[in-house]
Amino acid sequence: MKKKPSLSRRDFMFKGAAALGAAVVFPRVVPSTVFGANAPSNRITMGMIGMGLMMGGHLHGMLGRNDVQVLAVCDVDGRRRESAKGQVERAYANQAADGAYKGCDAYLEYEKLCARPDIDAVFVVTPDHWHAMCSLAAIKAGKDVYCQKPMTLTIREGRLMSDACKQYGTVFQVGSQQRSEWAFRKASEIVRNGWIGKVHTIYTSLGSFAPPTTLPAQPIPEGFDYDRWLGPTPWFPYNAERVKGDYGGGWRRFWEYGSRKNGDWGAHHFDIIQWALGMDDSGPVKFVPKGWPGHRYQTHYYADGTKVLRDHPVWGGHMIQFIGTEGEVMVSRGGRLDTRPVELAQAPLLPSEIHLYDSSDHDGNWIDCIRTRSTTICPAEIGHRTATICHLSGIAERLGRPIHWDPAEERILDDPAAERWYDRPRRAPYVL
Amino acid sequence: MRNKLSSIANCGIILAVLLALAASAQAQDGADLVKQLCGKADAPVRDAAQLAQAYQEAIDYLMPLMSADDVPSRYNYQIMFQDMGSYAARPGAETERQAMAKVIVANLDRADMLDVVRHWFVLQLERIGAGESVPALVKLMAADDRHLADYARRALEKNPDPSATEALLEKLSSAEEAAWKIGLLNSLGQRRAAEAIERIAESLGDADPNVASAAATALSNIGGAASAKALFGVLNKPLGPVSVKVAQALIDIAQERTAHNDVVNAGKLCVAVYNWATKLTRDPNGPNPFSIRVAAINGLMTCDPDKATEEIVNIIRDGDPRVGRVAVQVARQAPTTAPMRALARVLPELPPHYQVQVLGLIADRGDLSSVGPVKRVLHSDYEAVRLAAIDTLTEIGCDESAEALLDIAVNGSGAVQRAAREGLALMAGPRVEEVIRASAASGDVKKRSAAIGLLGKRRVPGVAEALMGYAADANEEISSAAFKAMVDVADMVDAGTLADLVAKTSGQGARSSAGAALRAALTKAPDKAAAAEAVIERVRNSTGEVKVTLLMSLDAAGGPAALQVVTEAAQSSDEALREAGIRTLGNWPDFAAADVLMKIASNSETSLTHYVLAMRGALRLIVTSDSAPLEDRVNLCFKAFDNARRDDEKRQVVAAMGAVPSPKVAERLLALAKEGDFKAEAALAAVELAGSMLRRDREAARDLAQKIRDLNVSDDVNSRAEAVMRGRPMRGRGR
Repeated sequence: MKKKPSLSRRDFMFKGAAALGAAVVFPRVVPSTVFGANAPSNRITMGMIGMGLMMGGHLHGMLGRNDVQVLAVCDVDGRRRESAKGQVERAYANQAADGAYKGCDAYLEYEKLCARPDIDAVFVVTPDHWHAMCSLAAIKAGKDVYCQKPMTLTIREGRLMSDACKQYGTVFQVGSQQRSEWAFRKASEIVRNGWIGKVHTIYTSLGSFAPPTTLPAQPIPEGFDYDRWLGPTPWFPYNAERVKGDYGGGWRRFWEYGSRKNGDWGAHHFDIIQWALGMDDSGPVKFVPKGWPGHRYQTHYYADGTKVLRDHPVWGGHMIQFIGTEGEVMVSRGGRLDTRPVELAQAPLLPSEIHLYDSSDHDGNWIDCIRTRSTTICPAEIGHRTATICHLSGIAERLGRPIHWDPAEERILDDPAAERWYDRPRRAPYVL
Repeated sequence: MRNKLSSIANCGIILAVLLALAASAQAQDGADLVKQLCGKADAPVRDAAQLAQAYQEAIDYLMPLMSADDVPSRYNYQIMFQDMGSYAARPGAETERQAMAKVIVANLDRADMLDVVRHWFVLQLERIGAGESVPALVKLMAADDRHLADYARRALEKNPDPSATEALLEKLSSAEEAAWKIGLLNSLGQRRAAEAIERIAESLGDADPNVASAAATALSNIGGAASAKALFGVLNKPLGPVSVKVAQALIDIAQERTAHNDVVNAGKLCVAVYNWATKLTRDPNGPNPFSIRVAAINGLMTCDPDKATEEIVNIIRDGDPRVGRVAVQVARQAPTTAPMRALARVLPELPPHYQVQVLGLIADRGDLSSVGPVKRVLHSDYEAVRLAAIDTLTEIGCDESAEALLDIAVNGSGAVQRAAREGLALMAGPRVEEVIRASAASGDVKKRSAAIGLLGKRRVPGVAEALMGYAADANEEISSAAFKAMVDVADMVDAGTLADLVAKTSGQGARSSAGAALRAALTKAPDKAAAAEAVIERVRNSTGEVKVTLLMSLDAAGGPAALQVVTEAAQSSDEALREAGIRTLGNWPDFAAADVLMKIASNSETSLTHYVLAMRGALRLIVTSDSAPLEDRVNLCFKAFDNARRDDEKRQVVAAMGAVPSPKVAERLLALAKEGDFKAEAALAAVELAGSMLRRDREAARDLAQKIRDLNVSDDVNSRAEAVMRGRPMRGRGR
């Protein structure tokens, strides 16, 4: 990780909401000698909650680090839980002198994992509807937290989580890892520094899932705690498709557990757009669903009129296209960055220009910040603001009408029925 | 008789057709009606009674479809029903909302309704219901279907009518099952029902800790003095299973009080909770709710910053490390810089890991007055502390910081020196630029050189002119530093002017740096031909080492004019010039140099060194010139192979052939792989070629791989060929 200072950096922390988006906070990479790391007692001890599809990469990464020790795993699926425990123990056994290791516990209930005083930090990599409950339990128990994107299922959850992180001094990272990719940072710096003039239109491509569906009841597999899988969401009969972790569908296609593509890819691309526009502490003011008169594409508007069109064709098949009065920036994963004029892509920043937070390893950034107690590249407030866009886009889609939003007060305006979506009631006995 | 039967049959058919048409028309009517009620089709103006009738008709149409045996088909109709509700509940349509809610309520008792459909109906009441829905929802809370009861409870939680609170409270009084109690407590908390505080407080003493915890959470959601009083009632008792939860609830209430500017009461809450948690930690066998202490001191930082500051300094000096590690964050979030400054004052005496954290805090706040304490740890025994101090000075950004870092940039070593240089390259702030410019202008040569390097890195406007001036300095070290710095601003430098400077440069080191700067300027020149022409002119007018330096920059520009000059040089009788020309040709950026390179390589009088240089240049062009005509690349391959003097170069040519996707090359490689001295190289190159052909011509690629596999040259080649045949070529040559 390389540091990039900027005058605006400290604004992020201290000059109030308006400057938050100018964030340039960098973690200091501290060699282990300072902390005596790598001695077992000085490793960051870790609990992993939600051992499904997305956890694979995180777990593999953590098991490969000698400054981290995974002590526990947690999942509602018994088979998956035991398999993860075995994976952890095999990995550590391979590193042990005697080739043996038994020191990873497997939990059904995240509450028990969070109650362990010997665990410093947790990954929350469950489906979206469990993010807030697991994260808040961990935060209040004094753990640092990495929570997958989108950070929440509802807007209120995000407000509670961000506030709790401040209260409890949590080092919190949201899994919007595009912030830790060079091309997205560079694109955001180009926009933030006005190199393409005033940005007025942004296209982004999120793709689509198959529509949600009603599913016939199936027997609940043995060892799978379906009630806990549903958690706070409304009861529906069990069906394997409902609970499946699948990038192309599974639970992701249901509104009950997320915001569909708005939450799935929007949590990445809307996040970068917020970053580039310097709106990390704020957000758009109007959300219009696809098909509303005059709107061929789902669109949201910022107060200055800048509009973001979802799934409008993007030049060169890119993920995001920023269009300004003096140029354009197109950016995608894999380091793809194109600009008009072309030389902008490689042009260096001056010391006096805005240098955004520089991270090249999202998980590593969190670990570094745990050690230095610094702010991560994507803390809870940023994750909350991005997730809010995902949720409001979804609410407008479901209500079939535009939603007006006050990002300062965090209120849906002039629509009592829409206001009810600010949070969702939770099924008993699940309490946030 | 037959006629009669025939008539009856005909009548039956007609009747069936009419019935089918009627059903279809009814369905069409139902679908149209739903569209109207969703706002997706023009609708007549309807009064309340007509609306009720329309909603009932729509439900009659949707109900069987929402209950169809084909379960997935139900979804669309569920969504139509939901869309009707969303549209009815739009702003300014209260009559429609109420009409629809009443119709939903009226249908909840239908015996023909499936449980899952009834759940869906109640879910719509959660979203649009008001006072008219409460009695029906209260009734449903007593349903045998526990899922339905909970749907109803949640619908009441969202219901804006005050009677919903009364209903939930009444239900709580008779609730027995723990989960049900928790749900009711949670609903009352979410409704922020102050009238429920007393009843909720009773649940704080519930035998089931989960129920008691839910009560604490509900009270924290309601907030206020009465809730706090009830929670203190539990906190002041001996430690129990919900004590920590109660303390968390009090912290939340303190935050709520602070948000309402009631800092006095918020402060009292924080102090009480902090003292409670601190007292617990004195018992080594008791629990250590360190996170509660952190949250309390965090709250106190807003309400009583002096007291909180004093406490965090104490903690970080000699306290629970779990609290101490968060104390820095408490200071980071503080509304004033006082806590940060208090920590800065004790910085030198802290353990190194705290020093790193406090340095990060000072950096985040960019506090100019803390430069002194930071400088005191700048030479710590711990490199991590030194690096953090450098980061912090970079962030603070002022003349004093810049001076301190310049000293390390000049006299330091390793990672610390690099960090200082990187920091200075980006440092912003008052008088930083002046310090660096002044250091570049005069003084110690080593320091001047470092500062000149920084000028390039910082790329501030006008820097190119300054560097041109330093490049002309009589001191070779200064001149060399300026040329090196020009690489960073090459896009701002005019190639012709720079070439003139090269001509004036004396000393091997400076000239080498000047050549690199010129190459960079040509690479970045917006008009390469014009830039090349400017340099060519100076090549023609110069001699000796200057001419060689200028000449060797021309490959960075490319183009026919430059190639002509370099080609002439490569054939010069002047040995130094000839070598420079051949070396430059060897680096030529495009295929235009291929012929002349082959000519040099194939000339038997060419010296071995020049032959090798030319051959390498040609090999590079074979591999990299994707945009050149394929036939030309093929010919170059064959010429290079035929003209190679030694087996080493022949092997290299064979290897390079693997990058030329041509049937002729494939054929040649196959032939070479069958027999002779280059079997192994040819086979490997052929497999690579096959791998690269997979995307364009899968069949030809597999055929080539199969042929190589059949030759059975080696295990390695065989496995690679098989991988291509499977469509998944191996990466790397891996010999």
